[in-house]
Amino acid sequence: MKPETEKYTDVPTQEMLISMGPQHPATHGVLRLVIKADGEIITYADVDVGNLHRCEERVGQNLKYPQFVPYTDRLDYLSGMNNNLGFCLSVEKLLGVEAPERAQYIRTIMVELNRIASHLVAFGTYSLDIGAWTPLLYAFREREWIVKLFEQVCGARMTFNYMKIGGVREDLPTGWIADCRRFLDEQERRWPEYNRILSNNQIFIKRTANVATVSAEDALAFGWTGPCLRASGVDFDLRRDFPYLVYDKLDFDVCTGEGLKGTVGDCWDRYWVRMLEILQSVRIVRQCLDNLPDGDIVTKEVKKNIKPPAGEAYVRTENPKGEVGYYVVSDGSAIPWRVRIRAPSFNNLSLIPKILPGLMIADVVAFIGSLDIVLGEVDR
Amino acid sequence: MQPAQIFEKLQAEGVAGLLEFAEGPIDPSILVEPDKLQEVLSVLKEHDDLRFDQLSLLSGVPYEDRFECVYHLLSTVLKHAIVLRVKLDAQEPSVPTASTVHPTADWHERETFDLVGIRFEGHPDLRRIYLPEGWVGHPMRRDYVDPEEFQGIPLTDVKREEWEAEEKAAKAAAAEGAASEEAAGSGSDGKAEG
Repeated sequence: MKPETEKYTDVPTQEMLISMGPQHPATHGVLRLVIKADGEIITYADVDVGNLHRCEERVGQNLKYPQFVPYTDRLDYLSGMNNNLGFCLSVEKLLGVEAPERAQYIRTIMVELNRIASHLVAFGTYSLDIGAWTPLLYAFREREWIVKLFEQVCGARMTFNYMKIGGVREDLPTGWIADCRRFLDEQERRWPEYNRILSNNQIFIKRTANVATVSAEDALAFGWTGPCLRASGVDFDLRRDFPYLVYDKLDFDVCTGEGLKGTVGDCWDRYWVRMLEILQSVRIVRQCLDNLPDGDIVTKEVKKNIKPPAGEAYVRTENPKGEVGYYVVSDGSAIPWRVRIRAPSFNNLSLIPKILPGLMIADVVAFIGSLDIVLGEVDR
Repeated sequence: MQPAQIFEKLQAEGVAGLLEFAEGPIDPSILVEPDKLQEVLSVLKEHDDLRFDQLSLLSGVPYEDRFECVYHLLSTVLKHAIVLRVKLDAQEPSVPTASTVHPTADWHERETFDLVGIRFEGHPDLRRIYLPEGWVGHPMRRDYVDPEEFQGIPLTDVKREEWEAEEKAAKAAAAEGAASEEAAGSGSDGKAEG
């Protein structure tokens, strides 16, 4: 009798061209990947972005400076506060003003709370991609608290428009600080639950450790920033190295990937760096609440009709996803000449054509989830 | 290092193509000749005192009389930053690609080509990234006008109404033609039957 395999040597096979997206539950938005696969192994991958392209940079050329701030919320819609801040800092650099002390502290608190919220979404949706339902509900339980805190301050749950050029729009309502402290205590108390349910889960580790390892050279070369870069072992954080707001007065650690479950720079490391950053953000918010000064929330130097002198400014801030920068060019009038937005998810995604060949299709889902991209930012 | 010191360092190294150092207005920048751009980027990346290992942002800015390409560089090792700029022709802006030195420029240059219309010589795969293939025009240019239709889909209300009116007229003409044929047809049928 001939062995089984000999029957199938003349079966013709071919590569399959698959379009993963734009409607797909695991691509974190309207992302389309064009993949050529030989069975389960990918041989070629290309990214087709632009399904959420609204040309916000063109909008920036048509509106006055304060009118553009709500549009920044819609870029990375999971960290609206950080995006608001980036634009306001760039315009303040052009104007040569600084927000008052109290506004700086409030801004830091909001930005760090938003970092916790964004990392919770990353944690929850990543587990959903891998196939676990429960961690999502755990993550959104804490995130609901943060979003309620934001709603008490500025009235919105996702598109805040809270930062003003020169400060913040509203002061903290009575009782907010106590509520925030209660939330921080709860977040710290519940953090080990996430590890019990997901981080140390053997199935999760098998799906993410040693998968799609990215070296530090590749990460730097392709413009990676933020938790993804730190997970590859590069010790760089804009909050510590190019400080803005009040970060130079605060005490926090910069978390890098150490390859605890696999190699440095694999998907598990990228996920773990975000989990550690949640704890660091709790620490930062506590310090800010303890040292919150009294004072104005908006500087009086900024007039109603903002007309920065001709010039250009680029300010880098640390978004939960990476380095966000707004390159604002002013020609002296009330409308910017050019607003160019540096989106971290755009760069983080650009490594896909290089890294995907050789992986299996299931690993694509694990890789994209570990990047934590937001299509609003990729497509602008 | 401060931007002025970086400029002096580059000059001391004898790097060609440095045109001038602009201290202001805000954000000092180094103006570089387009042809020597890749050389300057390499020196900035390799030199021990400079070590600019990351290109944060590549922007194309259209002005009235020229285009400019602005490069924001960052050193994660030495924690300093610098801005390079290149002045380009207003009619056919074109500059050598930075992706040989910084692979991240690949996608940034595709975006700049798509939205602003600057061509990058030597780019491995220069095609539109956001807008669909076959789109006419570059939206970030000041003289951009939205096309009226794209691949059979009307993009403005005026165009849509025009096409709807045309369709309606065509339908009415077809219906008239059918009605008159019927009248003639039934007449002849009646005759044949009779």
